[in-house]
Amino acid sequence: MIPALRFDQVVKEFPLGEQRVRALDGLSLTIPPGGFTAIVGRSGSGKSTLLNLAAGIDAPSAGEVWVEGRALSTLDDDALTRLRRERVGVVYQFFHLLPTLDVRENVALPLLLEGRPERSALERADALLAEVGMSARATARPHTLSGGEMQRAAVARALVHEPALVLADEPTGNLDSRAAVQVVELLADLVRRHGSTLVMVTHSREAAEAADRVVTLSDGRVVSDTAAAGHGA
Amino acid sequence: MIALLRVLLLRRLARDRVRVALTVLGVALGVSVFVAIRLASRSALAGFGDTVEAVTGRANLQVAASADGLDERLYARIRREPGVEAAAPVVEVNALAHAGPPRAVAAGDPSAFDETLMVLGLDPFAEGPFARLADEPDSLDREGLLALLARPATVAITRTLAARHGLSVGDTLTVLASGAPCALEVVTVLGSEALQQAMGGNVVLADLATVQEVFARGGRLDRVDLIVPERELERVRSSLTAWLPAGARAERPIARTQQVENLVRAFSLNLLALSFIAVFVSTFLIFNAVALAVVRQRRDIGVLRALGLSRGRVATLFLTEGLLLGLTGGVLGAVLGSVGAWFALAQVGRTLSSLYLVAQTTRLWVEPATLLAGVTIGVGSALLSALAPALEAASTPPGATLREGSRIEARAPRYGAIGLAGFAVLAVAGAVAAWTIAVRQPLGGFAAAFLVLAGFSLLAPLWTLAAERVASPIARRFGIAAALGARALRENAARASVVIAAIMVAVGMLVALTVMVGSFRLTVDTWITQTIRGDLYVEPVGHQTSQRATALPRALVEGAAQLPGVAMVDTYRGSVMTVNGRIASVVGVEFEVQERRGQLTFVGGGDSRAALERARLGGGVIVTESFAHRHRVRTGDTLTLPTPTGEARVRIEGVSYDYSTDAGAVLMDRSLYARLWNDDRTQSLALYLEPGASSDSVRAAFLRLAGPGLLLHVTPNQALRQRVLEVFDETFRITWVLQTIAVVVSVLGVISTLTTLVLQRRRELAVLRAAGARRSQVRTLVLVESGVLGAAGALLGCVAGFVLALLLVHVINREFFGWSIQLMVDPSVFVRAVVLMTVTATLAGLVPARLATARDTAGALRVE
Repeated sequence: MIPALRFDQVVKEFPLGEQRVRALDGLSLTIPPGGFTAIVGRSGSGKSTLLNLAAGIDAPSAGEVWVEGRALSTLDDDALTRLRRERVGVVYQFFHLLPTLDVRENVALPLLLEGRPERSALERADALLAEVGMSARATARPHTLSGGEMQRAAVARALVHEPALVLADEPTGNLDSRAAVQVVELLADLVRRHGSTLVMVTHSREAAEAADRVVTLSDGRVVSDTAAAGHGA
Repeated sequence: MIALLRVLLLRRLARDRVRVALTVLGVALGVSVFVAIRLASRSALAGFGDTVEAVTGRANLQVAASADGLDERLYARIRREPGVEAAAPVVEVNALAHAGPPRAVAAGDPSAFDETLMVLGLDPFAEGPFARLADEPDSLDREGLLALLARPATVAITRTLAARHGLSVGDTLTVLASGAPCALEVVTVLGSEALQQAMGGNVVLADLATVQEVFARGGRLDRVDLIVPERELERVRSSLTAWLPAGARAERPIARTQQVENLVRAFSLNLLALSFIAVFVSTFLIFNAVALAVVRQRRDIGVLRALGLSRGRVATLFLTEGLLLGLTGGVLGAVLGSVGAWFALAQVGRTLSSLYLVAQTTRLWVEPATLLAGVTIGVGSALLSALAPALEAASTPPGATLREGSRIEARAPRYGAIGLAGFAVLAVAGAVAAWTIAVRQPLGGFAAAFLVLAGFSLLAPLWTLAAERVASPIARRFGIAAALGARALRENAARASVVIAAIMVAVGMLVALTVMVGSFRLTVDTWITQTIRGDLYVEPVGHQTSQRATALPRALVEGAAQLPGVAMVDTYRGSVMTVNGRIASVVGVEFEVQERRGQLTFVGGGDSRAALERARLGGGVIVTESFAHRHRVRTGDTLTLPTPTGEARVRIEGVSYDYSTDAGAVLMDRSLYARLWNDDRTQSLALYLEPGASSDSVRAAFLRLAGPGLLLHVTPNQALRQRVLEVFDETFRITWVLQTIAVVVSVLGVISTLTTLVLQRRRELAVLRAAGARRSQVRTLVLVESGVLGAAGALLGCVAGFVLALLLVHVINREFFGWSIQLMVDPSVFVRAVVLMTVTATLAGLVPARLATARDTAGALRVE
């Protein structure tokens, strides 16, 4: 079975003044298709870097990242863009909805970028909005939404093109605890229903508890990799 | 505070090098245009003033001619006037020349005569006290001067001219007099420093009689220079005025320079006003630069305010930014302007020379006051532009600033109120224009034009929102990236509207000038087609330079009428006179020929034939529209003209359209001119051919009649029209240079603002990339945004431009120059302006688009 995501001896360094800081230090990790993996760790442990590398919006300094069996280093910018557009969905802590588009258009954005006809893209967005309970706010502009609503819209956008891999970067970091629980449950439920793989970076213990598997990072390395309570490893 | 400025301002400016450079360049270009035009105009006039001063020597009073010179017999009486210490007669003629003996020159080819000289006819015996021949009496070459007197056709030349052509004593200089090459022997080389500066050293001195004879000025003087004790000056002037004839006046030498300055004032002011357009456009650039700095730093300001930085210091911080941008741009602009002035000088000089007969100067006078004025304009406009954003930054409370740090604008500007203010300003502009016409106050036209630009600038925000509404659905058809580009206009309306205003100003002026110049050109074309009815026009080579010091041989004029194929001959004699302190032309033409073959068109219509006949039979005159305007006269009025035979009172029988010079002209029948000016010679003529006669054959026959010794331009009707239009186009060439620079400055505004907006929206663009947008899609987004900015600015500019064109045609041109122009609008002007600006702005978007696609996506998403 081809893993949904694989990191092999991945090193990522960032320049900091004249020095270089190592965010990931020879990290290896394999995530099989399906399921919900939470990546936890303290600030600076390399969680978000791992997610950016998985999305192909950043490149490792050494090592290799595979998404659905494709080595990202072998893909050019166009191929990486296509991969993101067709196989990967991302949910961010700060929602990152575009202020110039309404909620429906924000959700349909990946399909519109793909060149899907507007009507069909918006119909698909409507369906997703219904799934996340946001149909009533479909034509609202992002700045009129609450944090929870924004994140639900962002979840719908991440799933609108039925990606194989959904990456969520601290999706509850900007939400109150009630909204946080709702968003994680929604995300987990949707991913399961759509048969996608969810990899979520989080600080939140409650959020991690919803995962099938919890990977803990420290100083850019995996220090523990366990099945979450109530789930098999 | 200085430490604060260093930490908070200078470091940021250093970091934003590219945008700072773009803004500084914009200001520098604006200032440079002002500096170049002012230096060139001032140098052209200073060159004239220097020349007047040099050829005046120590004279402090002169008796100058109001109409075609003075009778030389007046000289003896003037010299005897009590109080006059010294008097010297002067004849002054400009002429084409070349170094060396006369050589065979193809007929009509003036290029061999490569120098324009000022030939001064003097009385060497009277010159001593005036010190214009030598700085020190000891250095005077008395033998040389004696030779001038003793031998005919001899001249003294300046050291500069001698050096330029390797001429020395005994060599020959050939001048063109009434089309005939005339050899003059160099008998001395003058060392006077002042003369080296006059007309770039192109001054030639000869004995009075020599110049009078060579240049058809027999018995006439142009002026008599006088030295009078300063305390007696007014008394002598009054005493002379009491008895001098109508055609002469006593005045200080400076009066001549002032008259020329008055003559070209409208031209210079017009050019200067145009040069301000680029400065005006650059103020938008500064405004946006500082406003964007405020937006980008809002969070930092919040922190600083929370830490105790006062409002005053926040304002000072951003005003200092404006000051630094303005100062750097101003200084750079002064340097660029000084270089640009070299090119502008040639252009301005050519126009002054062709329109106002002011001899061209090649010496650029880099006047410190103009450089300082340029820097001051840069700094002043920058401070004014920075004021609003600086106050806006200072007025934001610290808490709000921290909360709203991530928003682009602190609060949405009140677009509706700004738009209403725009309409109000436009209404005021209309009122000022009406007032200008009512009271005939030309400066009001410029004020109205400024108000139009200000009014349309205030409409820019509403226009931006409207443009987005129209552009978004269209862009949507081209995909989501294009739609996002168009929609960005709404999100960034405050900044976008400033760029749109800058483009509007540049395009508005471009459209207005194109419409005005196009209308003017068509009006002139129609006018020359109507008035230039002769089949062949004849003038001696050098006539445009020597003007009235030209006379065609009488036998040639009489012989022309007898040539086979010639039906009629119109002869022309013209001069310059001073009416009510203003220079004007006086022209004698054959009214009978004009009645039968000419097509003079009159202001307010009317039968031109009847008016010409009334004038011919009743001793009346026709005045040109600009003369009527300057002297506030109309048909039926009586005009008092200074003539060599005394004051003449003539009735105005009509006001004709004329676009040859804004100084104005009085036209009269040749017989009246001959009587009043005591001069029946001919400067140029027009031949009207029999039906079916060949223009080429008559031309050949005429040239045979003239003989090989006379260089003549014999120009067919069509070629003359072409030449008039070429001079016209040449006159407006500098206008296009100024206009292009204003457009360049507005494009810099597009690049600079879009670059900043791209940086501002880096996260938004990163999300797009993360969501699967290709680089090409991000590029499309930015290019569509810049293209829509360009198109929206250009469309608003077209509307503003049309209003400005109305002002230029119906207010500024009429009140300044007294010219009626038929407004003719070619719709393609608008299409061209919109296409040009949209394409240019889209291309300008390539720089920020490149930046947008090169951004580090992960980095942009990471930073919050």
